Amino acid sequence: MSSKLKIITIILITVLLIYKCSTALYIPTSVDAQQLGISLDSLRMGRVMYVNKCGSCHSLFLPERYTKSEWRVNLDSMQIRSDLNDQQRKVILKYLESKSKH
Amino acid sequence: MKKLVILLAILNFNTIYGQDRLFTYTYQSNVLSKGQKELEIWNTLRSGRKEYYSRFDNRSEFEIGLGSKLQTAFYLNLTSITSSTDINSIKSLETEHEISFSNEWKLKLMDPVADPLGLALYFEYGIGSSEYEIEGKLIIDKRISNLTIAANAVYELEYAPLIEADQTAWAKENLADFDLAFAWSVSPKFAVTLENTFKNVFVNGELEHSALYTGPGFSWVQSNFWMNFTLLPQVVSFKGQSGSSLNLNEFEKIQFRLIFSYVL
Repeated sequence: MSSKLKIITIILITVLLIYKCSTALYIPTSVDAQQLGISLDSLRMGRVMYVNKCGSCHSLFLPERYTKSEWRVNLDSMQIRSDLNDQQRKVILKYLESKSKH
Repeated sequence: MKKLVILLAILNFNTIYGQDRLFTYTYQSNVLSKGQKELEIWNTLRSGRKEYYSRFDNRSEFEIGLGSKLQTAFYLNLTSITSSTDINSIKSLETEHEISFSNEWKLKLMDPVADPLGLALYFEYGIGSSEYEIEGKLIIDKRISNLTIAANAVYELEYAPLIEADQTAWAKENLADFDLAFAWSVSPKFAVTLENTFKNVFVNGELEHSALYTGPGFSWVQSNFWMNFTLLPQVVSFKGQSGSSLNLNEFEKIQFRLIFSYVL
């Protein structure tokens, strides 16, 4: 195999491996919901709202990046800017806290 | 005290979400938030060809987010090249200057955090005193915990005037690059990077020059300010070698790039 072909093959394999990996932002399962004592629908709604409401303006951060208290502060600072009502804030916060940094 | 902690946390959050770019050669799919503006200063030094060659590029970029998925940027590009020339067997050094303007557009199609893969399309055109160019990129990236991987497929078409038999003609050059880069976030404010650039130049449909560059770098972010650096030596050539394993006819032995940016 020529060197150029090897490089192209490495690039293609890398891209395929990257795609095969699941999304970095976790998708809640029934196991997560059971462990946390929160309904699965609520967790999934939190993820959808986080992606749509927050991701429409800035890059998304993984829940494990901040602690629960840091997420609360972050959402407090962003609530007015992103036009979130209290119920939406609560649902998003539940999702982010479910995998937050300890 | 509690208010101070909250204020510091807010400042920290706002600072971090302003910075997404980790690499200097390889692009990522993220776009600036709507209305967010950045001033980026690019400095690239390329050095070492078969004969003496030193090129310095300075790009001043004004970047603005237009929506959740679209951004544009305007560049003023200044280039200075000092190289060895041979006129009637007399060697000397000659310095050329060029000024050009570029405009880029980036459209994010998939998000690197929310979707399995980040995906974006990029288009840029450039108008210069001695060159016209258009460039398209397919950008793919992925975040896996502290690791960010980005890959770009780049196609560039350049036109430059030349005089042939007292007539002005246009020389066309096709460039195809493939970039693959890795970044490891040591902390939210510092990442180490490794960039690979596979450069190919086609003339009249034939591959004339091909080389691979690989090198380390870093990304560092502070309040309303970030800087990325890469040291990129040519490691091997596949076409157009100049008496060694490197192609020093078309490409340089080494490149350094430093980008620093202020979030406006």
